[in-house]
Amino acid sequence: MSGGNGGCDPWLTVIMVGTNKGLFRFASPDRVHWEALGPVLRGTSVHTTAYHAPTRTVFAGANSVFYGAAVRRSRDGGETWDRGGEGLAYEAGDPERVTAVWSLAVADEHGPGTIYAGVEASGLFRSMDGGDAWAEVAALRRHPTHEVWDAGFGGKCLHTIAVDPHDANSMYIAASTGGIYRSGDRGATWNPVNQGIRAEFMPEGQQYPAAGQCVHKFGLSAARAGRIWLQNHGGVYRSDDAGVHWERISAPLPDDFGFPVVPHPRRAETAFVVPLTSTLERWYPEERMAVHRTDDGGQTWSRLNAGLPDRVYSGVLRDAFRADTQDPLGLYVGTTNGQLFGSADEGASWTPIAERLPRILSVQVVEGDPFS
Amino acid sequence: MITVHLPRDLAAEFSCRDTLAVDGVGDLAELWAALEQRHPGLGRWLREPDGALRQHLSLFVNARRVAWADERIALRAGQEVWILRAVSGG
Repeated sequence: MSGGNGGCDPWLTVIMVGTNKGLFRFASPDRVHWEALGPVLRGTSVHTTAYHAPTRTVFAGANSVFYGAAVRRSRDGGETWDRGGEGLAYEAGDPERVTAVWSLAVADEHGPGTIYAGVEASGLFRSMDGGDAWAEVAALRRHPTHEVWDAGFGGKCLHTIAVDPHDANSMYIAASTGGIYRSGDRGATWNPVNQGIRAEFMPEGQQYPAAGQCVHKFGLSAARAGRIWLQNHGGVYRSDDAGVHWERISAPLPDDFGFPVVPHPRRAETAFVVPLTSTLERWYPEERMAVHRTDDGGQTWSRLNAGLPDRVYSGVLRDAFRADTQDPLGLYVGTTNGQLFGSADEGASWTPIAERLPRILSVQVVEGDPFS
Repeated sequence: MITVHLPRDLAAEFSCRDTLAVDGVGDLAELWAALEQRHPGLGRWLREPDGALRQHLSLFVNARRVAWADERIALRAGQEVWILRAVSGG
């Protein structure tokens, strides 16, 4: 269907749901009533999406098994897409290939039109013209610790990119495996900031290497400078000094495994995770879906499952849990069995937005009307 | 003239016909260049940076499958080139 809302109130919120078989969109004027706008990029694996509000551009990390990886753009809310820009590839002689786009970050603070893309095999690309031309941020893969980066179960992927909201010169990436890295000069140089994060898959005595950790996701606090929340393969961590030191905060949780971590944008002590079993099922402990929230920096966690199903055998992947910016905070979580749930009350209660979708890889919140 | 058959979804992405007539090419390298000139970006969708055909595409020249898309493969007027998607996948 065409976008827009028939002259009624504009869409307040559009959820972009990337699946392994295309992008689905759900729009709401009030975060209560949702309209499905139909799948686009059909058959394409959409690992991640991003939105640039000033130009009303939706970016999609669109990965075709036949035609390769691209950052495709839509300027009509996802109705139509371009074919992506040039340069999102390692050079011909490189031993690695770009096979998928896993993460995107719009970064106008690094110049209007700047956007970063994290790819598989793990590496970072930057466009400074809104996605027409891409070039690798080559210093990252030139770091000596790159040789220890390896493929996790999901692939050798750079899955998280964030520019520090308190210091535009500072940015972070995370790769699995590889760990979390920080640049203090907009990507010119990089250093791992993994000290204190445990790599439990390493032999005893070698479990705290400089790099090589299996970081699943991190989120920077917009409410407190220097604070980072991190979901590791094993353990949730918090740093209050830009990654120099880490505190493990997952002891009260039912399991320390999980993929996403979502910081509250305004409350520095609040963050959300979705614990999964660390055994290979990778579903919710006791088969009961629940989001867990801390309001005290990770000392204690509340189990939030009102409206979420029991006896469910799915999980939540690293890019499939997002918050909006409204008050009270809205949360959106997509599952590996194709369910999308929303909460308009900071996680206290949940309602289904969609069911029976393909495997959900990513969820993105577009605030404002991308169609008008 | 060489006749080139593209996968339909690829032709749709580039807003072109899925059967193209290409003149004046003597080998595969010249065919790739002609396609790229006619439809900028098409080469990136078909091939890796090192020139290899993407893993899940197949190339047939005159009814014979070409396992390695060597750019020196000669083409003659009247031949047909098929680029096909794999049918595997879940």
